[in-house]
Amino acid sequence: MKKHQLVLYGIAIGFINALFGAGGGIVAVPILKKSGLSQKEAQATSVSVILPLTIITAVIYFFQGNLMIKDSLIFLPFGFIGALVGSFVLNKSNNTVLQTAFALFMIWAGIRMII
Amino acid sequence: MGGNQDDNIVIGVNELDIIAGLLSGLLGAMGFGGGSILIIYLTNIASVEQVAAQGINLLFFIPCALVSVIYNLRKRLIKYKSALPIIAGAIPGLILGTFLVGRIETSLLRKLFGAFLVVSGLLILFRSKRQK
Repeated sequence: MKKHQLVLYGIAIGFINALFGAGGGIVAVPILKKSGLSQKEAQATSVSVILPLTIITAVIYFFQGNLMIKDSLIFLPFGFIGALVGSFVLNKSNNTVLQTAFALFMIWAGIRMII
Repeated sequence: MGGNQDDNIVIGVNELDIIAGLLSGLLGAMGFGGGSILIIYLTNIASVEQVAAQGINLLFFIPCALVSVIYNLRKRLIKYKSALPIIAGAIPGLILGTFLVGRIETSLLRKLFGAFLVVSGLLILFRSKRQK
């Protein structure tokens, strides 16, 4: 994939991640794979792409008054532990069962939110 | 949540918050949208407003992603050549996105988010099938 194509996809990724406060990675992983990375490389690289974007987006949210810092704190330590385990699992297995279950859950939750 | 009664009190920890945090971190680090789980939990169960939930998720993602990035740097799984042009494009994209967040109606944003979940879920389903 050419550089300018990656830049164009980047615009969409940044837009989605800022509009929804999530989801950039879901778009980034398949694009990174298309650019020639393996599944694991794509997943790992996607996080490294979304991290700086998220920091910038969070700063903008803060200035917009959309950041409830205190309410976020409780989730941080547990997320941290989960992320440690998740990084380990990512490198150990390719868990399609978990992925399928998660996808179905997302579809169900999404329909609930639209209705 | 539930810590809104007294500003001086540390936010009340309940089991659901812990489970949601753990699961989101776990799935996030594995690269499939842990963030959407946390937002779904916050808006549907903890009754946090959509934009506020998104803000919480952004903050939540930062330490989780740091863990993942450090781990993957050591494993040499991060490929800068692909990452940098995406980041370059994403900056104007995110400025546009945050601009919209400040103006869009919450109920519409929630529906758009729902639609995004459905599409993402379908994409993940197809993707996991192809991996087999």
